Amino acid sequence: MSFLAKYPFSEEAKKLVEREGLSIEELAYDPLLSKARRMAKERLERAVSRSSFYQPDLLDPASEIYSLIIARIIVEGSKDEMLRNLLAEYESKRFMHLSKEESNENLLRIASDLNVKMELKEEFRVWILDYIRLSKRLKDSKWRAVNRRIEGGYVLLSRDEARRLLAEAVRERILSKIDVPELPSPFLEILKGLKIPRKAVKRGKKGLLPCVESLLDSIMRGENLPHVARFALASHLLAAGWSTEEVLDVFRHSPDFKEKVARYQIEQIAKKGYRPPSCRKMTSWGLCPGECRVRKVAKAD
Amino acid sequence: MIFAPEVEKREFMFMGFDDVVRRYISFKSLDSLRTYMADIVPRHAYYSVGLYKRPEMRKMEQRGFEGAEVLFDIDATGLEGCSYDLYFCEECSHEQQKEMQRCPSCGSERIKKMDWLDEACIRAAKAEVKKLLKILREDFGLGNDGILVSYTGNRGFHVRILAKEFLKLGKEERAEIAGYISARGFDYEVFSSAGGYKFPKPDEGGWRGRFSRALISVLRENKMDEIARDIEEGKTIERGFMRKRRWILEKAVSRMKEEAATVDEAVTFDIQRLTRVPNSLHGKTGLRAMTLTYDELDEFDPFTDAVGLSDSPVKVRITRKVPRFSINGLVFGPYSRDEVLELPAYAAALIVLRERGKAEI
Repeated sequence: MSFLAKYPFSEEAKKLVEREGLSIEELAYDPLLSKARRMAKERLERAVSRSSFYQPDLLDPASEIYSLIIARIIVEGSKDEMLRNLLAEYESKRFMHLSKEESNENLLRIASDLNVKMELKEEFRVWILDYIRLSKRLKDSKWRAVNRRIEGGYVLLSRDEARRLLAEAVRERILSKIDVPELPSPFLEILKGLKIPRKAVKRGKKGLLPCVESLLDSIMRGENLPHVARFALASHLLAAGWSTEEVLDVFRHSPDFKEKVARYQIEQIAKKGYRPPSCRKMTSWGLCPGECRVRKVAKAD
Repeated sequence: MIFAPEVEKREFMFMGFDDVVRRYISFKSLDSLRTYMADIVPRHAYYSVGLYKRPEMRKMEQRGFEGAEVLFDIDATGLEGCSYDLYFCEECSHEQQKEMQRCPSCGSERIKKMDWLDEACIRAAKAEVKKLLKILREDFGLGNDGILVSYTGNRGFHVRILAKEFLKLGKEERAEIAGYISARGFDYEVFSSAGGYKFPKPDEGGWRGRFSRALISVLRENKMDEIARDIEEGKTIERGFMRKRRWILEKAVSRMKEEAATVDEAVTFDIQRLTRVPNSLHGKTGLRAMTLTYDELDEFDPFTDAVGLSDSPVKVRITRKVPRFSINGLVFGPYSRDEVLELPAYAAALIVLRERGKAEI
């Protein structure tokens, strides 16, 4: 049972509560679920303020599972991509934390639950297509498939790397859309109470390369950009004349934003006058799928 | 015979000899496609890599996207041994074989680069196809049955992955795969740590193994057998030693990249791409686009196997220099401007469609 409390995103967990077949009204108003609603609120508040997670109540998996379902319903109903990304970041980090001591057997069970083809022979290995999909947000050199050990269609991983990939699969699951009718008022109340750290960015996108513009759009949606993408974005914005404060406001939308760190890094880029990376560089980092300068890829043969 | 797998799910596009483009066309069956093509006799015939519920709809959202084949485009242009052979000034019609940016005769910059199609180009493109297939087999675990190779009818090949699991891939994943094929993003610094460089062993899979083998061969050539042996045994190489010999690492990377395939990444990335219909004629050569099995690829020679037109005589006036070429077992050319010849239709078509001559009626 503690398995389900720790991993409430799993299909197994969903099955446990599906039997009850609760409607959205019941989720919103049933007094028996008040604990789950309170936990959902806390989930979202912690996600939004990017604080650390609370320990799951291992004796009460149902509340844990319902609270994630409620949190996801609220996110979906808000139609707010930034909130969606914040919750996904939170759940993915939470998974990393709670799976630290997990048995290998259970890690594989989670993998199969998340539809990730993962095996454990002498080492962990994951099917290359799953690997490429799940590692796309981890653009550091060591995560690129070209730099990995590969055997017959499988990428070899350490246990920690395997957990990291599974955390990405958790992120993917939380990011995926669900069908949700109008939010009932208790959920709207929770949503209204959230302080989503959004800042209006007044400056236009004029003069930015399409590739940089799309990085800017991603971060404003609250997507979690890899380090090189952040560097590329910050240096291009600074070069286009944005102030440190303006660039910082952009980075506030990042799900793992830490003001002190971000400010320091932006100031360093500004102070040292790093040249923004060229199209060629950014393409080689895998930041501009398709073309860097051109808005639409022409199709012909 | 014209062939298209899952014909009813594809969008078709035709370009006629009148330069009219007909798009958003779909067919319920292969038969109706064949009848249509026999009727309109298109200059170019394309179909989508994408599979749709309603391929004839104009708006992407209305089509019901089901997935798209992963497509690799290998074009000989720019590969070693295959480049432009003629530069033509569109202002004054001056032509020369040496590259020019500006016309030496009239000073115009309206230069048309022209290419021909010869065995060297096909050989170069084939070599790339083989490298690609090797990577797909070794690193992606794909057998030859999940892969379709076709000759485009011109200077290149298409390789498509038909395996179901690949159909649903998004753009980012496709870009990543195309990058992987060309070893983009390979970085030997991932092998370094405070203790030194721990290089991969030669029997490893993927680019790491290819790099290791390249590195060992470079070391051996430069009489550093001991270091080569250490790498084979998985020992760590001192940092300072490698730092002073960066050129070795760079050389190993470029040797490793000889095994990378040159594919047009923008094509692989594009899930809305249209590609030539197998067994239709290519409008720039008169040769047939053809699907090939893995074994056929080796022996395949488009100038005998893909000849798509008859040998009935056609009169041609040469307008631009034509190099010597062979097709259908016969040798033609070289021809120079204003020659008027009677040639078999397939040879005449090649000259006319590559804009080196005009048919005389």
